[in-house]
Amino acid sequence: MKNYFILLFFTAISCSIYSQNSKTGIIYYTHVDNHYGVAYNSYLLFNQNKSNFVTAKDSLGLFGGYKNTADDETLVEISDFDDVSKTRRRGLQVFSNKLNDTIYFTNAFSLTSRVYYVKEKRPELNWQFEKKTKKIGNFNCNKATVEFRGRKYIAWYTQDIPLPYGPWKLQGLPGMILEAESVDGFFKISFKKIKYPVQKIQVFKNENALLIKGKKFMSFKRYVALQRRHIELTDNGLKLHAKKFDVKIEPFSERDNFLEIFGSN
Amino acid sequence: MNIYKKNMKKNRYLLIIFHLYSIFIFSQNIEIEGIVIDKDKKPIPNILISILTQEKEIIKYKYSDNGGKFNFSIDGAKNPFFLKASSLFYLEKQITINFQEKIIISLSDKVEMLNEVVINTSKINNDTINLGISKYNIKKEESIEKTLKKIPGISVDKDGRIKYWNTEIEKILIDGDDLADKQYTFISKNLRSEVLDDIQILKNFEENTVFKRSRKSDKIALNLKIKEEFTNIWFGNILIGYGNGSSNETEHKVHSNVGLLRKKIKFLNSQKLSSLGDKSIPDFFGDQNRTNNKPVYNLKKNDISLPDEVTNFNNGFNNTFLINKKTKNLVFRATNFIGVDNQKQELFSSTDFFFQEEDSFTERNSNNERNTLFLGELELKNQGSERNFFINKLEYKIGNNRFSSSSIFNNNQVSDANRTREFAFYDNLQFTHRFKNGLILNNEINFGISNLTQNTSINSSDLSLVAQNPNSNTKQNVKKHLKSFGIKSDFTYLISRNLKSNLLFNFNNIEEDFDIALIPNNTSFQNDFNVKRNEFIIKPTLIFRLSKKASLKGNISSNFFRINNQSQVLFNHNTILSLNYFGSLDISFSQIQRFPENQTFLQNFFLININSFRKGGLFFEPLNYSQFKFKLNNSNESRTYNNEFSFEYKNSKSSILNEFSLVNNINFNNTSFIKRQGDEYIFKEQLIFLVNSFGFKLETTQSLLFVPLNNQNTERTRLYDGIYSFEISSYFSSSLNFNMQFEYNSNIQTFENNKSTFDSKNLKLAVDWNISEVFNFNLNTEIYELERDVYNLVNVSLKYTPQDSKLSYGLKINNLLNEDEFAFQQRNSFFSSVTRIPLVPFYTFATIKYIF
Repeated sequence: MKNYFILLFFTAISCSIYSQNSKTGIIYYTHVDNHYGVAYNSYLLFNQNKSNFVTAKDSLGLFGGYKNTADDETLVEISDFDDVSKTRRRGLQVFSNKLNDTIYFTNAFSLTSRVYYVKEKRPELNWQFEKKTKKIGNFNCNKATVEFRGRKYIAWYTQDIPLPYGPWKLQGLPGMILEAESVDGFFKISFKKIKYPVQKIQVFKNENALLIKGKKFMSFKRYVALQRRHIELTDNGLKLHAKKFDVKIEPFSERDNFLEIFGSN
Repeated sequence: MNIYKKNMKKNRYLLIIFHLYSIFIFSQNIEIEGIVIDKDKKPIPNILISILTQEKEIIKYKYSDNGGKFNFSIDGAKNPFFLKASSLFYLEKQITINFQEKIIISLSDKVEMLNEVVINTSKINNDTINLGISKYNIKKEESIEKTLKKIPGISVDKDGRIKYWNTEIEKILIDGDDLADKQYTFISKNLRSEVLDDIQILKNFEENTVFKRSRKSDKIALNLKIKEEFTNIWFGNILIGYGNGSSNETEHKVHSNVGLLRKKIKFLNSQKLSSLGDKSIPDFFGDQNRTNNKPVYNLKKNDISLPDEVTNFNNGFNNTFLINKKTKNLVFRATNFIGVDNQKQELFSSTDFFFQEEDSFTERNSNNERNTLFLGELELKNQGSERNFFINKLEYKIGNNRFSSSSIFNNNQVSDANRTREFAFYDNLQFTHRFKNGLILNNEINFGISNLTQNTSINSSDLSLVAQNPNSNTKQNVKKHLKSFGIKSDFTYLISRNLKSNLLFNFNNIEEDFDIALIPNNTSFQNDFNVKRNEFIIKPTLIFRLSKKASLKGNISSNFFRINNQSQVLFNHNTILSLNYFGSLDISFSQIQRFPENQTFLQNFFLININSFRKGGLFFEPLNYSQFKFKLNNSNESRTYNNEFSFEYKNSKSSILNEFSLVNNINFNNTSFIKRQGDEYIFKEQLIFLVNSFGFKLETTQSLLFVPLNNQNTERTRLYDGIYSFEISSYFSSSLNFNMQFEYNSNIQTFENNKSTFDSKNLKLAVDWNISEVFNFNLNTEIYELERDVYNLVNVSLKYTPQDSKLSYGLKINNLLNEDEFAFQQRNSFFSSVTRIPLVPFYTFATIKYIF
């Protein structure tokens, strides 16, 4: 009862006016995606209340320039005559807004499939802290681990940057995550450089900047259902191919092809 | 952290209002609540609030909410002492928790600069797929070939050739080093899987470092990653097998492998001795595109698609030694092979000449063949750069083949004995250079020499009669000398992002010398002939990407051909349009002109087997045909079915006609060039669909040929061949799975009012059952029906591989139903034949394998 009153009181005095610091920083990472066997340049833009992680926007080590097409849904970078690269014009993004406790992200199930626009409540990660420390550049980093959607992750965060952000959906530690990987090696992020403050770049004001014309965010529940459907279709496709070329197949596994594992219904 | 401490000292205008807002103590829990505000007294969200012990260890942390508030419920036993508020954007503040007062923390802005760079050298190869073999129940002592058969997407055919999906692999590397080049089955059959850490699929495989940078190849290679503990030790295995059956013959098999793998030197030696029918000398040695010196006289033998164990018996021995040595800039690789095959085969066949009603014959052959081959390949290449690459391959071959056969041909007994010797060497040098403007020049020079001699002796009264030989023994001596020299240059240039060009120049010179004579001498059976072929080919190719869904590829080649002082220019062209509409659609049209092989120019009869003569003629005309292909492949959206339809039409304006006639039990095969039109139509339809845990495949191929039988009449013979097949496979998640296939083949030939037909049916069933982790059971059944006779072939095998043991055991039962023979049919446009071969009766075979 007492707590309730305190809460009321506080709501009254804060009047939902809060301080906003618009200073922005950027961290550049290398994102190794072992599913596609590719290393991407990725970055995390952040200010006090929001962060935006962008990956697969331009990949490392590819030859030649790239060509943009009007349609954002398709693969765009053409690195050689008959090759398609594994990046998209707008990349794949995770936009985290602390103020409404929501994550907005874009993802595609395969290199050639369309981009989905999804929102979900910011997941509460149950981080386990370990005593181990290491230095990344001049930052002292601590180790923490978490089980999240079917995989175990190791993260190295620094209390020198006391912000809850990190690459992809990994967040909520008492410091910025500079390095992270899944124990099975499926996903790996390593730190390249940080710049703070930056002048010309800003974090999106709101999540709508992620959307392209005519698109809106789907619910997370629908996204999970779509992923399951995609697995079923791909598995069928594999069986057909196997029959055609007389080869053996294993079932198309969620673990080997998706970062987030939701399991079957 | 130091930055923050320094800032704290400077922090003079900092407002400290410190209230203990509330403390509630329920049993051991202490509740701490507060608010963070800035200098304008506005609440600040997302500030890290940490509760620390006196030793400054974090007990708990939280980020302030939208109203700047925070609250903690902390176990009092943990001694909370300090509270710290920190953010990148504000100066950090640390206070001692005073449980009596409210906590209000006011923070002021911080000026902070971060500029930190860490050099990362991790590089990743985009085209490598790790198969993760540990998850496929790999047995220690099994060969890599057996392991590969368990891996999804990989198939291994009867000869051991490996395919990843539908593409055959180029080679198998061991830790990135090539030991056996195209003869990679030496590795896959002989190296055992225990030494493997993993197998990698290398897509876009290109050995040529200049091409690697700019060309997407569709080649695939396998790379075997060897476990650390095996990278510097000797290892090997030995297998001994013994078998006995209803015949009195015993069978045996000994197999041993020894290997040494080190970073700078690798070698593998494999030895095999077997009487189980498996051949020691593979059929696919060396470069397939090279002109080979083929023997003139051949043994009548048949290769059929039944398992080696149940058909003819071959005794084989071979030894293969592979070595790879690296220095700083060069890689040296050598293959040395010695193989001996002793083969015995019995055949009984009856042949009908379609157009000569009275002409049909039966023959019974009993063959003995001993084939010995020494073969070596030495390869030297530089480690390569993006600008330059070279590779030189030198191959030598010493072959000795002896065979003898005795035949009963329509009640006449004939026999022959033959010896063929060949000595050959080939050299191929490739050099690739990239110019600064991106133009790539690729040069290849090759030359080769081969000497082949063949001495044949035939005991046949029929043959003596034809050759006007008073003795019953007729001999044929053949000397063939082949010299070849070639230079190939090609240039590749990317004209624009959507247009790629290639220009190829190729010069080839082949000189082939035939010296064939019958003894006693008879000029009408003598060929002394020398052919010089020079060709100069210019072939430009353009590949044009029309849109994302369409591409067009076209090439024209002009071939300036010169043979024995006669010249001609040949034009070939080929256009392929690929579209991604209604599934994937390929349409191609090509026009092909080429000269037949040199042996067709021999004008007098020469013996090609125990009772057949052949001759050709000096016709100087190219074979000429055009071809149209259409292929459409589509699937439904839920991917439960796939359909592929293709149609092919080939129209030949001229062709080589093989006429057969039987005179006095001797076959005369007259090869001539005819300018008559021939047509060929091929339809293929394949439907695959899935229902629950079953996959179904329905397939049919229908081919229809209209072939002229001579140069005079307008009539052509019509050959129809139809194959229907139905297959069902299970996809159970259990340890037992099966595959069943039924096939029906119908073959009809008509000419004027004559009609000849035959058809056959077969049913195959394979069951694979992993009874437990150590026991595996396999059943293979094949049932054939031919002219109302039914042939049943059943083989079973059981394997026992105890865990943590160096020994493993196998038991096989072949031909369980004791089938005594097998029959198959063959046809060409002049005759059809049925051949029967005896099978090895029921026998069991046990093996034991020891690894070290």
